[in-house]
Amino acid sequence: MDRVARSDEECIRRVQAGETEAFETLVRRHQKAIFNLLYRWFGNYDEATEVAQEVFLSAYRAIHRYRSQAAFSTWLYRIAVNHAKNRSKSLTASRDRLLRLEAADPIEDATSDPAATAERQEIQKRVQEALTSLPEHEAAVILLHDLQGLAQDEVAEVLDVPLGTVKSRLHRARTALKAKLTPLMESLREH
Amino acid sequence: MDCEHVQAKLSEYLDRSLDQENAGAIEGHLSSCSACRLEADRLAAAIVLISKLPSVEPPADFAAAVMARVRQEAAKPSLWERLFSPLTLKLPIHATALVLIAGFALYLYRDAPPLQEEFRDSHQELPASPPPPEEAPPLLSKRAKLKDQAVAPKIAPERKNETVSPAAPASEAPEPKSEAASSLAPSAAAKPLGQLAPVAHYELVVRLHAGLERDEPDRKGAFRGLVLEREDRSARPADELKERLRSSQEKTQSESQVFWVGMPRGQYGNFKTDIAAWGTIESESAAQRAAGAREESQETVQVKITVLPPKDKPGPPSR
Repeated sequence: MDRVARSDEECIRRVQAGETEAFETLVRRHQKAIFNLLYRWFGNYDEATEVAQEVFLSAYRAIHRYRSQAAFSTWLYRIAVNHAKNRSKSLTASRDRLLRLEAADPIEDATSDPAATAERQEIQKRVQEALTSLPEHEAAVILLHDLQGLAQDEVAEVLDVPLGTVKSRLHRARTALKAKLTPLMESLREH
Repeated sequence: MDCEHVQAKLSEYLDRSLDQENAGAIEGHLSSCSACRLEADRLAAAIVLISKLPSVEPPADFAAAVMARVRQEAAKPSLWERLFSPLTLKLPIHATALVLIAGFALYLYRDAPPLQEEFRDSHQELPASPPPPEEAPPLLSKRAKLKDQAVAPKIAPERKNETVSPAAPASEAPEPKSEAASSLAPSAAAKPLGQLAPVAHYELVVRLHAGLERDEPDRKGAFRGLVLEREDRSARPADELKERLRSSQEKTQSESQVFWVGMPRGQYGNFKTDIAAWGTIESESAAQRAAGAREESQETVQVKITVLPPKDKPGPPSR
């Protein structure tokens, strides 16, 4: 068992024993991964912040039910995907999801070439639009695997579906994205 | 491998998750098929675009905000604590509430009519149900039937002191007060009465004797008529009925009238006895309940009475 997992389990045991402050270690360790998943799911910073907080609060409330069969990160991703799906249901149409997309990702490197930055942001915006337009079950698979780097069997565990289902959904999601992003890729190739 | 099969496996091929045999077959196909090679390149590029999306940092105070809510959550009492803490206070309250609920449930159980019936039956407090009726003759022989009364009615206190002296049939009325019900006891005379549901309804067709239109105050206890609906249930049915007929004398003497009378079951026998004093009961049978009549218990009956005007000749009718 690696050091991180041991550390996660130790924190969980302490929280289960009533040591609330031990939960903060778990939050700080996993907040970026969960936040990014949700940010790419909604394409909206505020939405992702709000839902991510709910995810950790739900995890705290359910921590006494956590057992070590699955890694804590897998368990947390499962809570995050469920919250994302529930929140998405409140949006009446995918158009609402697209309208909530932000113009660009938060700028990480302000000193880079402005033209290159603008181009990069445009690409990211187009990719984000393509992602947000995917059906939820396909978006979940591609975000967990291609964006978050989870192995396919881990994705199957998060989503509680067979491995074959993960493979087929992944192929459909990538094919759909390829079709949406082909014009962008062609323009990039020309440059 | 054909192009369709190859393109269906491209995602796994790019992930390097295919077995060696399939991977080799696809690689061979791609080396000779430009269309599939283009598709593979585009798919790979799309995967790169997704994976290269920059990682975005959450707000700087994200962890602090989460922990603030977690601490609030931790400060809330648990369900157990809300229900039972402090034990010395909450336990007596819960125990009292349980006792009250149990008592109320028992009260409802005891008071519900269908359940009360079962309760009574199990305690055998009611008299046995009357036997199933036999086929009832269409006409009554007043003297004969009065003698065969099987059920002792519950006589109102006033009636015990009455001296009834109507025509001959009524002279026997006081005696069989202990056996005052007619031989056409509800259960015996009416056709399907024994099969009736607990609320039994009877229909009587009564022919008025001639001469009853005059008020004869010395004929104590004699019916003067029949009421339509008993509004005052403390009054005797006979009195109410008398008042009703008195108010419609002209009609009473010339046309038939229909009335409904409700009464305790035990009074039904006396009721028929009193009718026999001034009219002839030409038929008795089970009847449909009056429309709109209130639901009665097993202890009451509804009687539909058709009162026919006297025949041409005055005096007691011959049978």
